[in-house]
Amino acid sequence: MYRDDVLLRVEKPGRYVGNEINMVVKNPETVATRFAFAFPDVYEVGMSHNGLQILYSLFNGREDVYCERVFAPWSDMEAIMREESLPLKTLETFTPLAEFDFIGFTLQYEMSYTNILNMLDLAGLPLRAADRPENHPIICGGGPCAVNPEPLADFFDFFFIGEAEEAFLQVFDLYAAHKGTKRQFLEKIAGIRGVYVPAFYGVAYNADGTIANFAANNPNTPARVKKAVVRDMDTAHYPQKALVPLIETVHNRVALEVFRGCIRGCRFCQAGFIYRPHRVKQVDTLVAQAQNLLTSSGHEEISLLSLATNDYPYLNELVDKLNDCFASQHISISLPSLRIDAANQTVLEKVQKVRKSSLTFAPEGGSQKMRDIIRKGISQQDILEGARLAFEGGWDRLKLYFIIGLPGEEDEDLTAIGKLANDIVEIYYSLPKEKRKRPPGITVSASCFVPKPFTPFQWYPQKPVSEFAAKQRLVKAGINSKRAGYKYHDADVSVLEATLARGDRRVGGLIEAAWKNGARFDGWSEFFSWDKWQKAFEDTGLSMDFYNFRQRGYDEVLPWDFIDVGVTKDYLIKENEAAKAVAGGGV
Amino acid sequence: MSDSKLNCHRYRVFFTKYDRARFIGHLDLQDLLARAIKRAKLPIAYSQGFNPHQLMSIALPLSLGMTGKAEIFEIYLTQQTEPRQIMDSLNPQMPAGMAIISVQQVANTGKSAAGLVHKATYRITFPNLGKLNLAQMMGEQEMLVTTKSKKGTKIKDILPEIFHIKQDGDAIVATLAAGSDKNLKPQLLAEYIQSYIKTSFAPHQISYERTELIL
Repeated sequence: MYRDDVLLRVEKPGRYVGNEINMVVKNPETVATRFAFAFPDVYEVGMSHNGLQILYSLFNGREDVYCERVFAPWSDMEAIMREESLPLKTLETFTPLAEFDFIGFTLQYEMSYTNILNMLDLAGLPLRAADRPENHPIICGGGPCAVNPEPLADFFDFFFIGEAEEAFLQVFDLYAAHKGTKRQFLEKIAGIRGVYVPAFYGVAYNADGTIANFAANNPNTPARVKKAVVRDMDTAHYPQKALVPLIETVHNRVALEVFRGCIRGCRFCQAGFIYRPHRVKQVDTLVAQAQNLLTSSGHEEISLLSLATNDYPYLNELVDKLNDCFASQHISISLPSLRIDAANQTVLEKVQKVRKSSLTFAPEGGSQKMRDIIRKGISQQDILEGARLAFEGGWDRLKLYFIIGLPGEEDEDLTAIGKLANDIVEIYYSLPKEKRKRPPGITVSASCFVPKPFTPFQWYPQKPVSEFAAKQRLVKAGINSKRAGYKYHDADVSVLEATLARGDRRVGGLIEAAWKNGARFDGWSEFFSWDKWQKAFEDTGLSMDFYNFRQRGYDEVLPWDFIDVGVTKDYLIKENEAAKAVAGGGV
Repeated sequence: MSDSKLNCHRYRVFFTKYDRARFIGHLDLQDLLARAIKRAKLPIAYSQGFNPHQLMSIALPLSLGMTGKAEIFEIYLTQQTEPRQIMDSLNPQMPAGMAIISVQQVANTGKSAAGLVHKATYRITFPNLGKLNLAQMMGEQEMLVTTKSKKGTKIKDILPEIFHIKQDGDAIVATLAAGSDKNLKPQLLAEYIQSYIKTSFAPHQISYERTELIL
């Protein structure tokens, strides 16, 4: 463990001491493989992530593997670690990261990339794979951002694209049996579905900076890397025991993943494409999983997770069964992602028996034209009717989420956001007086559009920060009800997110330069520094005009084209053309 | 007192909090105990109302970083349960560093431990107390320290809130006012001692163990 006097000097020392309920204890001497699961964000965020729970349980389910955890140290801890040359250690055994066989980073959010480099550095490891000697750990990465791993390609030995539940265990099989060099091992695993070894692929660029050629340079590797997919969610691994933190984290509840994938195909939404196909769990599976997790954790809340839980076909039945089994034990159910419509009004009643605080609603587009461009599939009538049902049901706080800067957007689409919020306030006041306990509260939240790989909008130029600012002013001007407030996100983070999301291998230099300039925790507003990134662009000679603000052509080789995520480029083109048709050629 | 408590059975649980568990703060400790009670399948009673919560209360918060030799929480159970059984079912649910050391059944009427606690004994260990003349220090007319709050700084005389004090090598063992009425933080005593001996230690060099809560 870190010394007590170190821990007593930092905010929330509980982040660094492990010892959680259901933490796995093994003898590291007796396992074939030691794996450090690295979450490049602070403990409270990482411990709230369901993927960590699944992989921790899956990997430790093997007797010959010990999977431990490590998180990004907060700035106060980093300062002490650097001052006293303390290495980054795992929470299970306090082993320095450099002693592991593997360090596996989860790539959940582009703005945590500088934390990855920082963690490698705090582990005392060279950042670039080519600079790490034979005896250093194998650095791997996976998660949603791995669908375009290229900005991180130089730092990692391999990536795993897709879902780890089935195929990743083969990596451990081959490692346990392996005798030879790291390179020979990487050649062996390169044939496993989902594995991408960047060193085995070469990139050549055109004079204009676009990719001329991307090809495998090793006979053991496939030309295209195919995403690994779990076939059957009912038999797929799910934890029997929940790892329960001893300090407060973002979410303190049992997470029940009800399905994976999404039946909708909203054109801006990367998750909707990369998590395909849509696979549901049966009600009985979920009830059994809930039972295990509640018993082992002591949590009093079950959260039903998915990309859009309202789309779970057996939602009513599931909520009834969960209530039958657990309501008497004071267990409540929550739905983090909601879509209000008449069909699920009864579900809402059953779920939120106690606190009727606020409901979240995501029309994404203020005008029908915008909702059609993104293929949201809801009408003005649906939204207003949903709001009326929510108000009648006793909710008087609504949060409305929108995206600004989408393809085909014009000024009137932005003012339509305010109009929609105003109309919703009016709906509230159209209710009989006895139904209105207090004035309603409508919060409009507008985030800046970030074009992502494997979406129909992947070719689209992003708006510069100044244009986003003008758009935000238009939205604000459109809201004229006192009962509706406006929250917006700073555009600069979204612009950088887009650079990293659609970047090529050269963007790795940008991330490294930003890290050298001191960038850390870029997703946290108290740490984010536009200046450090601006300087990184200057240091590397890379430009946002190229990565962010340029219209890409259908025939351009995109950095992520070599990954087969399950949707074809032709399909994405067709979807983009359909969006353009809605906009009347304005895209 | 709500009706629900009258029909229940009250237990006072004594526990230790050492090692890594000292880094669990008060609010986190509440959540941790609530989950432990749930995992132990104890028939815990819940409050009435819209947002029911477990009828469980901790006698006195222990500052993050301090250790505790005999901390207290109380629970209301819906069924009469052997104290020994409560202890045996809770202990496997405690994280390393925490252990239940005894359980007593107490009348379910009357003040809670949180309302009864009025003194607490601390063992405060310094890197070096060679220069301290305790008898002389305690012979002073008053012991003034400056306390800071949101409203500004205040001068406080801590002498009336020290009931017993003795030196044990580099450690001070002191019984101080504690609870909702008057409460003297041991850090203030440590601060006074440092100014008295004209030696300043970094906060992390001084360790605090709460050895007893006096009800």
